[in-house]
Amino acid sequence: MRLSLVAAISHGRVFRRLGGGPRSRIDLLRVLVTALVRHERIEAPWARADEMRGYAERLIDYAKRGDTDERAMRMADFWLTEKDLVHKLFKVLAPRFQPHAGSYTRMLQIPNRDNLDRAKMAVIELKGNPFPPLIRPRRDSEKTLLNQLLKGYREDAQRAAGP
Amino acid sequence: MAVVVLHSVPSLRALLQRCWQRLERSLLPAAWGAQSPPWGRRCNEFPFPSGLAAACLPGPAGTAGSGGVPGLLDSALWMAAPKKRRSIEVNRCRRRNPSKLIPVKRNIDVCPECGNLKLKHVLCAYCYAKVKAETQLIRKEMGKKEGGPFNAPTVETLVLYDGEKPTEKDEGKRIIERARKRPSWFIQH
Repeated sequence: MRLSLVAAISHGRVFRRLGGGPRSRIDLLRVLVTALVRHERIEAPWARADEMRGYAERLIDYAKRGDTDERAMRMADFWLTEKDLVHKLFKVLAPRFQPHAGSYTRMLQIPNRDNLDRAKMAVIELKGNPFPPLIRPRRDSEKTLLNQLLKGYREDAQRAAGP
Repeated sequence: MAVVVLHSVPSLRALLQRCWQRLERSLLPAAWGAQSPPWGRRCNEFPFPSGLAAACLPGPAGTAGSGGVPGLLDSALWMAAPKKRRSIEVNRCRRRNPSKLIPVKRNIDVCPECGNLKLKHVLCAYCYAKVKAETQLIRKEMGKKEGGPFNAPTVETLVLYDGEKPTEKDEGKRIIERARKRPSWFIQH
């Protein structure tokens, strides 16, 4: 039970303080969510991208309910400042992520910004976007020792099972 | 009545005199500097500037006492100043202390795609710049197709390069044409 508010201790606080106040923070995140839904891949300071990620995924969860749902439509109306994106959200993104259970976004760190501030930047994208992939998943090479041993074991097993 | 009490009990008078002296000492310490031994002893132990020892002498204290307004020598405010020049050995110890050095980064790796250096947890700068440039060109084509602002499409998008045709599973998608050969790092699924 909170009897006093101790400043300078933030144990257990999950939300960051961004911008100039709580209203400004929500407006900042709203702009970023709108940009993500429009462009499907954006660069932003790492803290803002991390904060926005949760809101974006919850918005997609709301959108999955369908556009007849009153709460979903109100959420989309609040969070997307450009109203043509509401159509995109319900008609493109909701069907795209219907088979997924969660984690509709991918966030990766990029080199620090070139400005004087050298800010820590991240690129956040919706999965399934039409752009080139940021990371190419590499399969382990066949030539590594472990893979060679496993290959030999597999061949031995096949030879024992075959004839 | 107090006078009668003082005359009758000499010890009480001595006690009152001592109390009064202590009060005076606490109010004007500079005037009493030379006279009280504890003050003098403390002068030697703590690193007060030598000006304080001079103030302990009755000369300036006497003038201050007569002047009424306490000057810089008599006031309790003293400024810190280095006593000796710091030798180069001491300076080196301070400047090269590990807490002051920039920590060495041990998380630098070689990107397997292009061979440039990258931090382990960060994307390769060269590869990311490549992908970013291509994405911007694709977005330019998309902008041309949409015409104006706020025309976000209500169907999925597919990017096709020279000589590529959409397959049957890309049925209702908007096609974006790019007039170049498909780059090797952009695999079509």
